[in-house]
Amino acid sequence: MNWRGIWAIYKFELHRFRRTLWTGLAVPVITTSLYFIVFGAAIGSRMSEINGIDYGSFIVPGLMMLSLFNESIFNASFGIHMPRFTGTIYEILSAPLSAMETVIGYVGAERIS
Amino acid sequence: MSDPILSIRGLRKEYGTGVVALKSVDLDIRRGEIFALLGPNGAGKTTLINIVCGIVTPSGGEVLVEGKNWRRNFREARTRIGLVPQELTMDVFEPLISTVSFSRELFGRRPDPKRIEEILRELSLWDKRKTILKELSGGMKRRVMIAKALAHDPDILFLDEPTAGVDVELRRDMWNMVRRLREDGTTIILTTHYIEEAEEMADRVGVINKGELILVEDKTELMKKLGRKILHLQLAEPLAAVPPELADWNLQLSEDGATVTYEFDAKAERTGIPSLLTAMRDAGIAFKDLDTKQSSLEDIFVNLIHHDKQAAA
Repeated sequence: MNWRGIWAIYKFELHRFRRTLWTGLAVPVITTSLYFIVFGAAIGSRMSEINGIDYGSFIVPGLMMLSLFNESIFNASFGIHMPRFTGTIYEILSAPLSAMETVIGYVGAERIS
Repeated sequence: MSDPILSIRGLRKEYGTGVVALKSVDLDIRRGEIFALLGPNGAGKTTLINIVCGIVTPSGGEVLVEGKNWRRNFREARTRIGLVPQELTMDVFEPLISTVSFSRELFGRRPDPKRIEEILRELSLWDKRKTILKELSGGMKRRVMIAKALAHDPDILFLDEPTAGVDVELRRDMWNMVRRLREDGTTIILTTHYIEEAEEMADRVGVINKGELILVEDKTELMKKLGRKILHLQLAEPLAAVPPELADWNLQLSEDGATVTYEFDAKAERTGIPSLLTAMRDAGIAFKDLDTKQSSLEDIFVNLIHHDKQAAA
C-alpha cells in the first residue's frame, strides 16, 4: 500500500475543503432559506398539520437534510470530477497508486468534510 | 552496452472510434541518454508517453522498466518515472510549494522540504514558492510542471514538448537544466517538433509518423547517413546559363548568375566535387569562393516524412 500517496490525497482534499468552506456553507444556507421562505409564502398558510406535526417542524428538518446530502455529494464528486475536467488527474493516474488507494484517499477525506 | 532502462515491445493503441494512434511500436531506451521523439502533430508521440506513464491503456504490447513489466510492477515502475505533460494543468488555487510537495508524497516519497527547496531553487521558483499558481506566468507554470515531475526524484523523465510556448531564453535555460539532469544520471525522453531542440540536445533521435516509428538512430549517425551537403561556388564572372559540358552535375544557377549550387551526398564514396572542379577549369569558369553546408536535422525530417507520404500514395 502506498500510504503516503493516500495521505497526500487526503490532506489535499481536506485543504481544498477548508479553502472552499465559505462557499460550501453559504450556498446551502441561502438556498435552504429561499426554499423555506418561498414555499412558506406560497403554500405555508394552506398547510395544516401533517400527521400531527405542524408545517414548520415538518419542513425545516427535511430541508436541512436535503441540503446536507446535496452538499456532501456535490463536494465529494467535485473532488474527483474537477481534476478530470481540468486535466490534473494525469498526476493521480501516473502515480504509483492503485484505483482502490485513490478511492480511499478521496472518500476518506470527503467523509470527514 | 548495458540493458535498456526502458523497453517498449509491440505497443499498439486503437481508440474506440477506430482511430489507430500507434501501430506496434518497438523501442529501447538506453540508460542515461537523452532520446528525442520527433514527429508532426498527431503522430502518436503523446499517446506513446501516456501509455508508458499509465495514463492510457494500450490495445496491445508491453513496456518493460528495467526488464520488468510496467503494469505488474506498477508501483516500482511509476515511482521511477516522472512526467511533464504537454498541457499546463495544475491546481491553480494552490500555492506553488504545496503542490510540489503534494507531488512528492503522492509518489510515495517521504516529505523532504530540503529536497523541494533544492528543486525549486534549481528552477528559479523559490522566491515564488508561496504564490498561488494562477498568478504565475506561462513560463513559470511550465517550470512548476517540471518541478512537480522532479519532486519524487525519478530516474526516467518524460518531457512532452517541454518548450512549447516558451521564449528563447527560457528554452536555453531548460536545455541546460535537462543536460544537468542527464549528468546526474537521469534518462530523458522528450518529444518535440522543434527539430532544433533534438539537434541541440538529443543523443538519439526517433522519428514517429502516423503511429509508426519510422526510424531510430544516433543523432550524429542520422545526420551523417542522411545528410546531404550543398556546395556553393561564387563565380568570378556571372554566367547566363550552365554550360552543357557541366550538365552531368545538375547544377543550379542563381538568378544573377553569380552562384552555382551543387548538391551532393556527403556519405558517398565519390562526391563528384573534384571532377566538377576539373570540368569547370576546363570550361574556363573561374570561381572566387566556395562553401559547403550540411543539411540540418530539419531537412532530414521533412525528407523522411515526405518519403513516407510518397510510399503510402
